[in-house]
Amino acid sequence: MTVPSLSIENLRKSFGEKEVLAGISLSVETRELLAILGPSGCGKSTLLRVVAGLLRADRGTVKIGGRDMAGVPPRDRGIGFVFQNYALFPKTTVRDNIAFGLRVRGVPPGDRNRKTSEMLELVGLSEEADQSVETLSGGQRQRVALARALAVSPSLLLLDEPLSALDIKVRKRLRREIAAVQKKVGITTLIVTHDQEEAMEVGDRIAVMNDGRIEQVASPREVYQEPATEFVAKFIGEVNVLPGQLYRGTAYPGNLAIRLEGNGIPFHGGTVKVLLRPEDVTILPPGIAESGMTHANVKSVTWLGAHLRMEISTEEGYLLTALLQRSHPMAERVVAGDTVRVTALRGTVLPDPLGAKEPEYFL
Amino acid sequence: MSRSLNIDALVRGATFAAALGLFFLLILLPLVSLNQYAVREGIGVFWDRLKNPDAVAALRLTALVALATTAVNGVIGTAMAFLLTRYRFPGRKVINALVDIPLAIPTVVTGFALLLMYGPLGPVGRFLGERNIQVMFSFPGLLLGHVFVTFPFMVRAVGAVLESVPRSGEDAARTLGAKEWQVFAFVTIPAVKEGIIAGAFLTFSRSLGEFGASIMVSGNLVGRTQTGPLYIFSRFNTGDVEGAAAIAILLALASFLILLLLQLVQSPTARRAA
Repeated sequence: MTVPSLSIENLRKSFGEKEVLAGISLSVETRELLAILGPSGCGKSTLLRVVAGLLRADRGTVKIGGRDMAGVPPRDRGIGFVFQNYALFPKTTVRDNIAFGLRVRGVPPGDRNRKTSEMLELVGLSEEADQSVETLSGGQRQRVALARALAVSPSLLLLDEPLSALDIKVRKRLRREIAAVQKKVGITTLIVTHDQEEAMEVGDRIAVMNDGRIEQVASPREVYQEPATEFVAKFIGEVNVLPGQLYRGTAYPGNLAIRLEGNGIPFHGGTVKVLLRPEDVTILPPGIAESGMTHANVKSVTWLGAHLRMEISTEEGYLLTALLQRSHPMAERVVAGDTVRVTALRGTVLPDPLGAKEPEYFL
Repeated sequence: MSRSLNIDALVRGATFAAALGLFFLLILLPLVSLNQYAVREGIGVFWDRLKNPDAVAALRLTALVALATTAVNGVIGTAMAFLLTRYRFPGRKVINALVDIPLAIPTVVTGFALLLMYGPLGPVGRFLGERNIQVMFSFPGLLLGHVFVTFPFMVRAVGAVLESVPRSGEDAARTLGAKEWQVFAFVTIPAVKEGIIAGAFLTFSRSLGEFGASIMVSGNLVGRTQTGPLYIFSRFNTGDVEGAAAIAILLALASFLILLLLQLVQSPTARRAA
């Protein structure tokens, strides 16, 4: 039985009246990269700062490598921290920035230089070693920050929106680099981001945060395909939410039918919310609607290159967004005003506490 | 179209001429006449007046007081700037407003107030006097007056820089293993260095020319507590225009050089920041 690299229990923090962390519990395994994803103001950066010891929580415990961090200052937590604004030391060379941690810890110059050179190589900045950090691009600066954080051989790496100050192209390239460096060094990592694509790409698991709480912690696939809450479904990608009924493993939003897979379905009857991803909604030419299909009118068609985006209105009165592959047989022909048949390829359900009170959903 | 352009050009020309004219009339000409008076009797007399032991003593004292004032305010002004920008405590806004008070009240009033407090008539002065410590009419009194008068410069110069420095640099140092004193010495101080330098220059040059508070607290004792500006005033009053002008020229030149130096020190960093 191994001790998790980081375990957080019931963490609470308020700023004045506002509760920013409303009881967070989380556990991160050794060498795992956990992405904390949430909208701005959800408390994710606060959580990271509490883990780092830069902020004190009102309640709860943080354990790093099994050791309780209460009263332990940031310098003794064995962490590396990368800030959104890089937080490099200005008017200082790349090498001196990276060596800072080793210097203040009294590492002798020989070892210090060796480690610094190793880090420079790791992030591909050996050529720029003696340049002032002011001469570097944003992407290079963040790589210096990463090398600086890793130079002191931390056991936990904390990245606070490390890419959000960069432009989109650099961001995409750098997030792959960060993930590669993380795997190479094999360090347990927490990355905070509001970018779902980033979380999906780098995270072994994703913790979705909203309003000071964690809504779901799961693999990227699960978070997308089996969201635990409506917030998670809506925050990660697009989703159609329809009222429906559950009957023997199949959800029926109106005339549509979705066979639910997996054995984790916690309820076997009654009213549910049905979540349909736009790419799981597909169309057929007009004709007789078989079981599980419904008739619909195409409201608008937008050509997005690889995909075709349609707004369609079903005969039950649902307004759906559908995403069609360019290779779909109807993709080149369908226009606004067409009548089509609609079917759902897959979907998931959530309990609907209000559903029972609204029987008009069920036609 | 061209008509409005002409008017624009005219307005611009007139503004330019007015600004330049006033600059000459109000700033440059008095300095030129100062120069004329200083060397009116020949460069030999000018030199002679400069070498006057009382003049040398006055200039020496002026420089000493300015240096000491800069040192004292460098420490307590910087500390105050930290207190006001980094911490939230009850009464912060009141203290923040009070910092600028020395700019608002006449310096003579400042000197007078200090005199009443620390002079032989004042409670503190009497207490210290009984223990043979004399604050007024001596160096400590001058220093007290100058520290008071120049207090806002350091606080404001450092405070402005401190507010623009993100805290994440210090946090980064903490996570990297720096102890609090290392964070302060290696990250905070370098970050506000420019503010400290600017504040020091302003404090120093303001102290060089301080008159109002000095004349109240120093007693204007020739050769002992008489600073440069007081020397100029006394010489002029006794009819020694050349002697007054010689020292005046020197003080004006010193102030000019300090400001020039400040420009030189600041501009490269300002350019880099932009």
